[in-house]
Amino acid sequence: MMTAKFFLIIGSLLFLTGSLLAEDEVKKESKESKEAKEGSKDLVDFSTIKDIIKKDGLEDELKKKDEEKRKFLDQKKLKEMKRFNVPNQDTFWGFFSEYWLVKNATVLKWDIHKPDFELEKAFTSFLESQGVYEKKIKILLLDSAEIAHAALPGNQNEFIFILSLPFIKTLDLSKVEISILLFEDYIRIKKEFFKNYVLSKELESFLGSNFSEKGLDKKLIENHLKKYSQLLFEKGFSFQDQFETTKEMDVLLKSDLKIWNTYLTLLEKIDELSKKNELFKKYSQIYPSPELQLSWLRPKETIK
Amino acid sequence: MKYWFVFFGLFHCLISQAEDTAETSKMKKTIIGVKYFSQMMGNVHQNPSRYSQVLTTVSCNHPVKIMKEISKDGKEFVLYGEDKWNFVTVGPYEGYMMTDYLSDKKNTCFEEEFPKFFDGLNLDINDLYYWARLYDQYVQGKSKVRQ
Repeated sequence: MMTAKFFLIIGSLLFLTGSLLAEDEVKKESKESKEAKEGSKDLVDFSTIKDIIKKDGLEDELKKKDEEKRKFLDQKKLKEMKRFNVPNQDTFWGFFSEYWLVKNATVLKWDIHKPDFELEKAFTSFLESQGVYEKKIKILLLDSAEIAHAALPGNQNEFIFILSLPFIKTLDLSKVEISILLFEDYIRIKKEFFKNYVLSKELESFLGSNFSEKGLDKKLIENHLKKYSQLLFEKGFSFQDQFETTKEMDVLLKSDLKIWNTYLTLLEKIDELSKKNELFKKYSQIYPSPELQLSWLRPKETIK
Repeated sequence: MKYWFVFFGLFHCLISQAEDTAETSKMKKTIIGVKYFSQMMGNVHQNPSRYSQVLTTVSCNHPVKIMKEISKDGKEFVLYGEDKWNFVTVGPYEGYMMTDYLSDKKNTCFEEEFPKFFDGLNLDINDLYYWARLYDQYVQGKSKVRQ
């Protein structure tokens, strides 16, 4: 009886262990099949779901995003390139004339304390009397005889004038005479004698260009600065330039004989000064020459 | 005795001058707006004069606070020195700038339009100082519009 009980217990224990092992095996198998299933998921062939993506419009969205990115990068590149732009002629002259004044501040001695002559008021009303409207003028007085007077090219409808205090004091010029002198400079600038002298072919092609790939040609800038100085300190204007300027002045001022006579008197004063005063000996070299100008202006005497 | 009168007169003058200065500094200051500097470089002056001491230098498009001063008797001061100057605040400085060089809107500035070209000129501190002085020294005008 005891043996039968023993065998029964042993039998049931073995059965229990067997069933547990079998259950474990089943679990293992199901796990393996699950893993296999998951593995097969990773290897999904996308070509099969291409149609679905197309239907969803995801491809178009991707193209749109790529296009946006390309545009953004192009704009960024363009913006960066624009930073290397060289000013065109409309904005270059005013800037460069001031740059030349800054670089020659110590020679020209314009940073000085001076009385307010109200020259700007006198000159603007003179311009208006000559029918010159809406022109912006900047006048800079110099405490130097290096340059007696000159106009520098400015931006559109803007003119920069430099005028020597020793020159106007030595000649004791009135506001009208100073205005005529500045008007003569204005005519020279209008006729572009200054620009024609300093503007080289290289500079002309350089203006308005972009130097992002080449780098800035500093030598060209320096040469341009030198040309400004050369014209105003040494070489001056040609006889032809002077002849054209004087003839234009003659035509414009003759409508008011009082002004025309003042111009004549002014040239006589300057002629005398340039011949007698050592300080202004260079004048006839820069503006050749007051004596010739007078001869061009005075009516020719006819022999009877 | 005569010297005493002279001394008394001078003393009175000094006292009244000191009172005037104190009165000016007592004026109430209020900000009336913001303007932008419109030239390449410019100076803020201690007094409304182109030859007055320079407090600081600003470049194009620098914003400046325009101030109004109100005296004890209610008088308002916005423009100074023949109406050519504004009383302004720039950073920690209070000074005067030429009205013609201040604009209500932001300007098209050369150094912002052509930054690399401007940088390429390698302007040093001396050049920038003179550039600001140039705008102090210019006398400017504009002929009228054709009638």
